[in-house]
Amino acid sequence: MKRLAVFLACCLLLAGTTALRAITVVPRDLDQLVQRADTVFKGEVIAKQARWAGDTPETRHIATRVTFRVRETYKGNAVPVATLEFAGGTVDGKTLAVPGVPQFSVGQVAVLFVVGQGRQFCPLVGIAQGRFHVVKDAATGTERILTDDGGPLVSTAEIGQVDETGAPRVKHYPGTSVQAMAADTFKAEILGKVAALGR
Amino acid sequence: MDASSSSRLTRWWLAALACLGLGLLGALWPLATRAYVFEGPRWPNNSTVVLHLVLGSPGKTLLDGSTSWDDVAVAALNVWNPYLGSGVQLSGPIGSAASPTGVFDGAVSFSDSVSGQDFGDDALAVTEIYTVGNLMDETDVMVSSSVTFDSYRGPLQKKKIDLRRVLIHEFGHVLGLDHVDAGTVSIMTPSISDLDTIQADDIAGVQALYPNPPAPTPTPTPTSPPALTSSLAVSGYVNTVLRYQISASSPPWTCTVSGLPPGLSFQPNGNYVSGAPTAIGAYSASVVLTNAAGTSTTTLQFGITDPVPDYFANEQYIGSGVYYLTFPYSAPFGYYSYLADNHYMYHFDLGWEYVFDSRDSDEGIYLYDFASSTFFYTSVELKFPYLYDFSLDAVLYYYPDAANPGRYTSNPRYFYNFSTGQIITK
Repeated sequence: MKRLAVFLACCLLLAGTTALRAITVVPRDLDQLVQRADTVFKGEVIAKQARWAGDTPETRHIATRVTFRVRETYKGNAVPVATLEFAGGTVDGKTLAVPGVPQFSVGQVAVLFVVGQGRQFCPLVGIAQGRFHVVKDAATGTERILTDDGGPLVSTAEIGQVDETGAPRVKHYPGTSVQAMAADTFKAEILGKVAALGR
Repeated sequence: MDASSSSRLTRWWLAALACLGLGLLGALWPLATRAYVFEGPRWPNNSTVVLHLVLGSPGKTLLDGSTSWDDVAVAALNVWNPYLGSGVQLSGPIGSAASPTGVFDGAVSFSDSVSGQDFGDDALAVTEIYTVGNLMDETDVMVSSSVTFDSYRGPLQKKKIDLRRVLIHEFGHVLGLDHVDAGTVSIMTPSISDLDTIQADDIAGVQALYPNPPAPTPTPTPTSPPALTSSLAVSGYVNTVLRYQISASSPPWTCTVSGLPPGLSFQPNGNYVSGAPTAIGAYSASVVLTNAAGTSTTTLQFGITDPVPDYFANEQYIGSGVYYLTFPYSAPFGYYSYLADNHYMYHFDLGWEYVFDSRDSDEGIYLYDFASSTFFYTSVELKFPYLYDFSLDAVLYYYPDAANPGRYTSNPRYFYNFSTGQIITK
């Protein structure tokens, strides 16, 4: 039994040594986002509602349920409507903010890499890294992809790449001449990764 | 966070529209690198933000000498306090005793959940902040209990997360700072990095939230030149990481070091020498310390040797201490192992056999791959660190770690055969 305990302790220690690289989150590249996600979909926020959650005084907290009209499903079971719950929100004038956890507005369209819905305080792979904004180019009507902080995503190779100062290795500031990748291209790359998982 | 994200998003599109209409205007935008970002709410003036520290003990001495996680947290709190004005201060009493009415109570703790929900695999620490209107009301910091933490300065060690810089970041959230945008040198970037403390932008941020910090207590002007107080002799092993912290009397002082062994460099940001020496030999380095009263020059003697002295011949048994090894694989260790019998365990993913030493009462763990007839070693702390190479009938050889006094380290080249008492070099 002692040996088993030693072994289990070692397993726990080893399990804690995966490449944790972030204070709030571990940087995840597209392969990891796809691999770790239970479902990946593009959806539009159609409703959100904050509530007090938790069954005990210790777990009582404000959480916000966000409902999406699912436009396209890239991984997992396709459903017309999906509801995700995130820690944080405002109820009766009291707000719980959890820095790093994305918030949503009705009408926003996003590609979401979902994991642990109903179990995790933020049901997205890599917390905010698991949300990509989808915005429509007013001039051409083409849907394009922005990262969670609003910068254009030019290539999926940029996802999850940070330097020694914690900054993204490639950063495109708003207003530069670079063009965010088309949502269709992003979708094709995700589907390619999903297909590769099945091979 | 989302308010700022939305704000950024909005600004991006405004800028994009401006580019369409005004041509070159957009080209100017990149110059406006974003700096600190506010979450929105702040603490009321003249408030003490109490964070009860209930992190406990690591059960060992951490790399920076700390013996308590709560001490690490206190140090992180005190990084911010000198820069806070408006009568706001962070306080970190150790333990969970209630505070007097009128102060803002929260807690800093290890946890496997966030308000009853899983951390998930991606979060190291989470700060929850309750606000009413534009004022903060309560805050808690939860640190993932499934992560291996330590406390140290300097570059980030991938396998041991520095809790101090994690908490400095989280306490920035506690004060009202949000994640900064890329391009800003700040402890408030979303990703942990080699930065181990607050930066100028972070100070500007909290001083914008809480202006007019009290004037710092003036540092007495030194009356004598600094004198080196750290060891004058440094020993290390070739190709093995070494760290030497410089300390001296009569602060504040500045330091330069020259004549270091190849592979070592001086880090002025923390006044330490670090690196892995690349050549065996004796070296004399010069340490020049300067303060307002003058300059002193001291010679440091570096002795870099091969890590195969006769040491092990007299130390066949190294005990059951905590040892740091290096795991050469990027693949994480899986959970899929089972205890086949009292002596063997098998790792399905990697094909390892764990063989317990049955030759004495102390159990040792040998990591051996029967398929390739090679041993494997890991970067985690194992209390039973015998690594056995069946082909050599030898265990991995340990020697004192120059970078971590009192600990041992290893090099995969060197093994020790108990039967012959010989050190084997692969």
